[in-house]
Amino acid sequence: MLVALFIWLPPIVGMFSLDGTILGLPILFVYFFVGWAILIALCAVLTSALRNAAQTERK
Amino acid sequence: MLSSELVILVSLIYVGLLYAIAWWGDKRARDGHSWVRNPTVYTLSIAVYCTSWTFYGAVGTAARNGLEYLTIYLGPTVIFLGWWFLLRKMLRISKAHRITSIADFISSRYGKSTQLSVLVTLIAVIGTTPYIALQLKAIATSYTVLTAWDHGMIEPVRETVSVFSDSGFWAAVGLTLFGILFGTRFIDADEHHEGMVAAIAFESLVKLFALLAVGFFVSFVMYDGLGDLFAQSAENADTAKLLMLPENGSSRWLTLMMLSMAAILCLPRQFQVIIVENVDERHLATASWAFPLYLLAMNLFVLPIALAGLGALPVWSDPDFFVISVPLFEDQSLLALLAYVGGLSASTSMVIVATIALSTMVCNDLIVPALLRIRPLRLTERDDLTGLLIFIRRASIVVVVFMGFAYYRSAGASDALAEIGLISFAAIAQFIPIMIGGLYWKGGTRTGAQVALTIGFAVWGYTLLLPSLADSGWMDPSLILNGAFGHPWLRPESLFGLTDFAPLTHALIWSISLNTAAYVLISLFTVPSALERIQATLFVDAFSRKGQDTVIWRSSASANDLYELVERFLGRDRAYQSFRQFDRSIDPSWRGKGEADADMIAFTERLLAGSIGAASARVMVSSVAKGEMVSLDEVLEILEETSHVIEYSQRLETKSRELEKTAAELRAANERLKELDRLKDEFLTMVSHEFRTPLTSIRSFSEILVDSPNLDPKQADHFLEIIVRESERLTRLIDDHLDLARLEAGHSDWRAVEVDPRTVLDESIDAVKGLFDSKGVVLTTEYSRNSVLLHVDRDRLTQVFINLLSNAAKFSDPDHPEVSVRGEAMDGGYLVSITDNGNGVAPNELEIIFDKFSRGGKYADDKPKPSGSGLGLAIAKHVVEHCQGKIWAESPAGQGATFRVFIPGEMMETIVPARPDTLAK
Repeated sequence: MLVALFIWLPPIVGMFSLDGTILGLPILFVYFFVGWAILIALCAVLTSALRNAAQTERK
Repeated sequence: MLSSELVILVSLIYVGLLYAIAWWGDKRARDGHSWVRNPTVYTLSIAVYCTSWTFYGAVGTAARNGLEYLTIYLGPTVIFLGWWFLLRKMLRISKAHRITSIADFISSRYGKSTQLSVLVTLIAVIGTTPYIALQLKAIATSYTVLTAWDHGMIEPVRETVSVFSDSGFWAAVGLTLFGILFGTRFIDADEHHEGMVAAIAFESLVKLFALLAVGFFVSFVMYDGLGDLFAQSAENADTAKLLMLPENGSSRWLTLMMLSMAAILCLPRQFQVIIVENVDERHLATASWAFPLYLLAMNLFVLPIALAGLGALPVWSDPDFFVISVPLFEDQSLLALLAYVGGLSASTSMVIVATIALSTMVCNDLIVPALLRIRPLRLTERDDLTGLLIFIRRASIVVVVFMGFAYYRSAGASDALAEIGLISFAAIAQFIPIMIGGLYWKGGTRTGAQVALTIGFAVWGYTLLLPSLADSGWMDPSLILNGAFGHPWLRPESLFGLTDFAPLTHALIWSISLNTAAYVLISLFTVPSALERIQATLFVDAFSRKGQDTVIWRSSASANDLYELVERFLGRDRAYQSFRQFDRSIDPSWRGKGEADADMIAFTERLLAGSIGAASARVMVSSVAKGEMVSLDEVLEILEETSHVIEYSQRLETKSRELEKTAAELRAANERLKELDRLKDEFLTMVSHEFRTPLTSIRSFSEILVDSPNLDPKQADHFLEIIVRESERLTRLIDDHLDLARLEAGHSDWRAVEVDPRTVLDESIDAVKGLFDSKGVVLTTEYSRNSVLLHVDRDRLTQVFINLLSNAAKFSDPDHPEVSVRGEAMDGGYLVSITDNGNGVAPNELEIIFDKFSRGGKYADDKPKPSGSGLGLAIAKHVVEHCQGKIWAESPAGQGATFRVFIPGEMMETIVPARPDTLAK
C-alpha cells in the first residue's frame, strides 16, 4: 500500500514522464500498468500467505 | 444509426434480464443455496465503483487530460492493497455492531448520536445527487448518440426536449422501479440483498466485456495493435501530449488520488457492497487483489480508445461518448449497441446500489428517528411496522433518484461527466477525517465530529456546488466572480485570496483542512460522554477486545414484549428465525414466557439495529423495556454518587475521630479541673485545720488566764509561754503559706549568687544544731573532696536543707535517732542526700509527700503527727525546681528514708577541703 502510494504520487510519477517507447508503448503507460500488475500479484501472494498463517493459527 | 425502437427494446430486455437474475439470486438465497456468497461475486459487486463515469467519462478524461483518468482507479487500488489496515477493521466493527450504512457507522462511533447520523445522511444524499445526475445524463446522451448518429452530421445533436420525452426521465423511472423492486422487497435483519448483489455482479461482467470488446476492436481492427496506435498518436502534437503527465499537474494529481481513496471508503454505495453486503471476511482478502485486477482490466483500453477517437472523429464530437461513437463511425452498429448496453449496466448498477444504500440511510437515520420523536403518532405502539418501513424506503428511493434527475435537468447537463463526479467525491470526502480519526483515535468526540462535518460540508457547498449551479445559470454569477458582499476574499473559487489552485483542489484544501482542524481542536476541548468513550474504545480496539453489549439493561422487559417488537419490524417468520438462532429451545408455540435477561435485550437491540439503525433501535427497545434502560451514563452517574457518598462518610469518620479526640481531651481537662477543685477544697480544709490547732490552744489558754485570775503565777507563765509558742507557730505557718504562694505565683525575689553547696550545707547544719541536740540525733556528714559551683539563691537553698534536716530529725527513730548527710559532686551538678533511720515513707507516698499539707503519716504505732506546717517539702520542691534541679525521696523498706536533692552546676577548679565534721550530741 505504501509502495503504491509512493510510486504513484508526484514527484516519482513525474520521473517516468519521458519520451520514448518500450516494445512500441509509451514509457509512462507501461510504467503504470506493469507496476499495477506487479502490485496486484504481490498482494495476491501476501494475502494467501496471511490466510495460511491464519489457518495454521486456528489449527 | 440505430432505430430508437431497437435501442429501447434492447434496454428493456437487458433490464428484464437483470430483474430475472436478481429474482433468481433472491430465490437461491432463500432456499439456502446462495451462489452469491463467494469471493468472485463479492469482488464483482465492489466493481459497482466503475459507473458510467468510468465507462464513458474515463475516455473523455483521457482525451482531455491524458493519463490523469488513472488516479480515480489508483486510489482505490491503494486502499484495497492495504485492506489489512483499514477495510478489515471497518468490516470487523460493522459486523460486530450490525452497521447498516455509513451514517450508522459514524453515528455508532460517536456515541450512537442521532444528530450525527442525520447530518451524515443529509450530506450523503446531497453529495450523491450530482453523481446520480451523471448516470442519468450518461444514459440519456448515449441513447441520443446511438439513435441520432449519421455520417453526414457536421455538428453535435443539440436537442432541448420536454421532461417527458427526455430519455433521462424514463431512465430515472426505470431505475427507481428496479431499486424499489429489489432493494426494498422486505426488511431483513441483516440487510443483505442477495438478488441485488447478483444483478450487480452480472452488470460488472457486462460492462467489462463491452469495454474490452470496444478496446480490442479499436486496437486490433482499426489499428495494427497498440504499438501502431501509440506511434500514430505520437506524431500528432495534441495527442502526443496525452502520453505525458500534464504540465504542473502535481497538485491536481495528488488531489484526485486522495479523493478517490476517500471515495472508495465513504461512498454510501461502496460502503453498502464492501461492508454491509459482505458475508465473509475472507472474501475481502480475495477482493484485495481481484478488485484492483478488475480496475486494471477496465482501464487498459481507455487511453487507446480516447486516442483513436481523437484521431478519427470530427473535432466537435463529445469525447465522453467515444466508446459508442467510434464503433458507429466505423459502421459497427452491433458493437456500438454492446457498448451502449455496457454503459447502461454501469449506470444502472450505480443508481440501484446508491439508492438502496441511501434509502436505508434516509429511512433508518432520518425518517424513523424523526417519526419516533413525534409522540402523537404513537409509533412505538403500532402492531406491524414492516409496511411502514418499506414505504419509507421506497419513497426515499423515488426522492433520491428524482433529485438526481432535477440536478441533471438543471445544472449537470453542461459539464463533463468526470467533473460532475468529482463534485460528489469531494462532498463524500468530508467523512474521511472523522472516519479515520474515529477508527484510530479515541479522543475524537461527537461535538468535534459534528462541527467538523458541518464546516467541511459548508465549505464544499460554497466553493464547489455554488459555482456549479452558477455555471448553469441558476444563480447570479457575480457572487462567484466578486465574492459574497463583493469582497474578493470571499470569492468561492479563491477563498481568502488562495488563487494558485484549480477550483477542485482549492475547495478540497479549504474544506478538508478546516474540517480536520475543527475535528481535532474541538475534540481536544470537549469531554465525551460515557457512551462515546465506550464506543470509541470498541471501535479503536476492535481487534483487541470482544463484546458487543455496550449497554447494560435493567432486566425488566418481558420476553414477549421483545419478541413482539422484533415481529413488528422484521415480520413474523424472520423474528421467529432470529430468536430461534438466539435460543435453540424456542419452538413455534413459544411466545416469550417470563422476563427477558440482559443478553436477550441486547440481542434484540442488535437485531433491530440491523434493520432500523442503532440510534432508532435504542429508542425502540427502551420503549418496550418501560424506560428501564440503564445507560452507561446512568451507571457511571450511580458510581459517581456512590463514590461521593463514600467520600462523605470517610470525611465524617475523620470528623468524628477528631471529635472523639477533642472530647477525650475535654474529659481529661475536666478530670484535672475536678481534681484541682478537690485539691483546692482539701487544701482549704487543711489550711483551716492547720490554723485552728494553734488558734484553739491560744484561745483555750487565754480563756483560762482570763477566767482564773488566781492562777498560780508559775502556771500562768507556762500558759503564756504556750500562747507565745503557738502564736509563733501560727505566724510561721502563715509565713510559709505566703512564701509558697509567692513561689507558686513566681513572685518571690531570687538573688542568685555563686555558692559552694558545702558551705550552704554547713550553715544549714549549724542552724538545726539546736534541734538535733535537743533530740539527741547523731549526725554524720560526708562530703566528696571536690565540689561544684552552684548558681542559686543562697538563702532559699539553705531553707531547703534546713527543712530536709529538720524533717529527718523529726522522723528518725525516736529511740536512737541518726541522720546522715552526704554531699557528692557529680558530673554536671551536686547531689545532696539526707538519710534518717525512721520508719521511712510508704512507696505510694513517695511522690505525694511533696504536695502541700500531705505529711507522710502512716505510722505503724499511730502516734500523733509531728508538728509542722506541712508546707516544707512543697516549698523545697518549688525552690529546687526553680534551680533546674530535682528533689526526690527513696525509701527502701526498713531502712528509713533518703531525700536527695540534685542541683546542676559547674565543676570547681579549686578543691576546697571539706570540713571533717561529725556532729554529735
